[in-house]
This record gives sequence, C-alpha cells and structure tokens, in this order.
Amino acid sequence: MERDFLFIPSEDDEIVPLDGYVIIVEEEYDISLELDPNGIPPTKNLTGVNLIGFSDVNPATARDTLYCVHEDWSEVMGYDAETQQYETSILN
Amino acid sequence: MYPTKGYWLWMDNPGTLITLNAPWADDYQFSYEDLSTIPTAETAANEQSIIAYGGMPHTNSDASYAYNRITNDSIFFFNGHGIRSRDDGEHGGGLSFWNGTDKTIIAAEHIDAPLNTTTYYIAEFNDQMNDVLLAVYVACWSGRTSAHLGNLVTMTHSKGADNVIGFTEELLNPQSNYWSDRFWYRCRAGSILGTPQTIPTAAQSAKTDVLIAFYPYTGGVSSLIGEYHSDGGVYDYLIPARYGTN
Repeated sequence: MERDFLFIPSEDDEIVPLDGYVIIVEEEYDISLELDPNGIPPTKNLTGVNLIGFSDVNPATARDTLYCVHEDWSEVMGYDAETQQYETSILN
Repeated sequence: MYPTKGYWLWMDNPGTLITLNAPWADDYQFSYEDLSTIPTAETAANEQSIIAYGGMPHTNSDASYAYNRITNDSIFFFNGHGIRSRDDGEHGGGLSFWNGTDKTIIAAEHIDAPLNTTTYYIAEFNDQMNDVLLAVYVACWSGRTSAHLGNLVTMTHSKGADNVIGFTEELLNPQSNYWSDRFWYRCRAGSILGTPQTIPTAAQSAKTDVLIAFYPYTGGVSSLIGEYHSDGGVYDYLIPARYGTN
C-alpha cells in the first residue's frame, strides 16, 4: 500500500495484516476486525526498524509470530493503546 | 503478540515476514558466474502467494540456510546447478548453492568420495520432511542416481515429502527456467478451464509447453521424473494451501 505517513482512511481502504498502523483519535473508540478469509496472505519485507501488525485473530508468542525470520530479528516492542505507553521489549 | 496491537521490530538482517497461518514456501534462485536462474524464484513465490502460501524468494543462499528451513517448508523450490562428477560420470545426487563467494551443497546421502565442499545430507533427516508437500529440484541430474551421493528425488520422498520433482539429464537455459514458470502457473490455473492441475499433470504439461516453445530443443527438460502422492485426493494438488501429510 503506497501511502503518506499520515492519511485519513476512506471506506475502501484495506488494512493489511502485516503492516502496523498508528491511529490518532480524539475520542475513545472500539474497533472490530473484519477479516477476509479469501485474502491473499501478505508477505512483508523487513530491514532495519519496522512497524508491523499481527496476522491472526488469536494471540501468539513472539517466537511463533516471528519464526520465519527467527535468525534475523533482534528486538520487538508493542504499543499499548490503553495505557498510551510502549511495552517492555522482547529480545530474540 | 496480539491482533490489535502494532509493534516496532528491529532486524539484524533483512528478512521476509509472512502471515502466521500461511504454509511456508521457500524458493531459491542463483546468479552463478555462468548461469542465472533469476527471477524464477520471484515468479514461483508470486504464484504461490496467490493461492495462499507464504512464498519467499531467496537469491544466492547458503545450503545451510535452506537445509535448516526445509523441514518447516510446505514447498521447497530450487533452481540452480546440480552436481557434476569430474572423474567418472556419476553426476547428480545434489544441489549446488552459491552465495556469491562460496559453494555449498545439499545432497541425498554420503555413499563415498568425500567432497571438499561443505555438504548437508537429506539422509540425516528422520521423518522431518513430513511437512513438505512439494519439493522441486530444477537442476542438472537432480533426479539421477549417483554412485557417490545417491538419488535426491527418491531420498526426499522417503523422508516424508509427498511430491518430489527432478531431472535425470543435464538441463539448459532458457528451457529449464521456462519449465519452472509454466509449472507454477499450471499448478495454480493450468487446466483448460483455468482451474488447478494436479502436480504430476502440471509438471508434464509444463514439459509440453517447453517443447512447443523451443521445438525441437527441450534442453533436458524431457528427462523430468517425479515421486508423487497420486492418490486422487487433495495432496495431488497445491490448492488449498497446506502442509504435507504425515
């Protein structure tokens, strides 16, 4: 998806599972995920520092989630929207 | 890690992330001094991704990298050099990897004639290749039985891979690259109706495509052989995306 860093999404915009998004809102919202079961599983090329998303509806360990790049990643750190803080980072 | 969160990820080396539930498909291509098989791995990965595999092209990889990943693969695709015996014509039995500097090998088994090159043997697996639905070895003599290194196709099949494809003769480009592109297309949509073909049919049909395109020179592609699941069921096809059967 070619996008500016900041954009206002339209109804037709797709959220790609492996991309990460920073959503800036003025009020609190609940967002439900609608998954396309026939969607093409994306791949995402990674180098250096990356903002990524998660690709399943169920949580999984960092080990399993990043297993396909298990020799290549060094650190992952989540952002907790409720506390508005970064979580403790996980080291490979 | 959780579905509704974003994560910052630091990478030591470049890599390709795939969705959690997509079966792995590793595709290897090479730029040797005397041969290029690029971009056949990209083409294969694109076709695989359309049918829900996590297709990952790799260029100029070490054998150790591929050997460590193959037991987690649903699809393993190699397009590069095979093994030529300098002394006695006992070619075959392995795949020659090239990282731009060094050569390394994946071979069927070590029978005799120790190699000067670092070599990894399929024979050392137990049943760890049960997840492999399809292994495709586009390399010279990849399906030939070598007195030194065995037979890569039959060894891979014996270790649990459902479908394995190789070639018993020397291959030439562009025929072998063309066979590869046509094979992956035919697995996805090769029938006259645009529906998937079985793996053996796709392999044979791609061979016919080469014959039509390059008549009368098939570049060794006519030596195609395979060990197939072939029970008329789902494991004869790449679709739906999944791992191999145990």
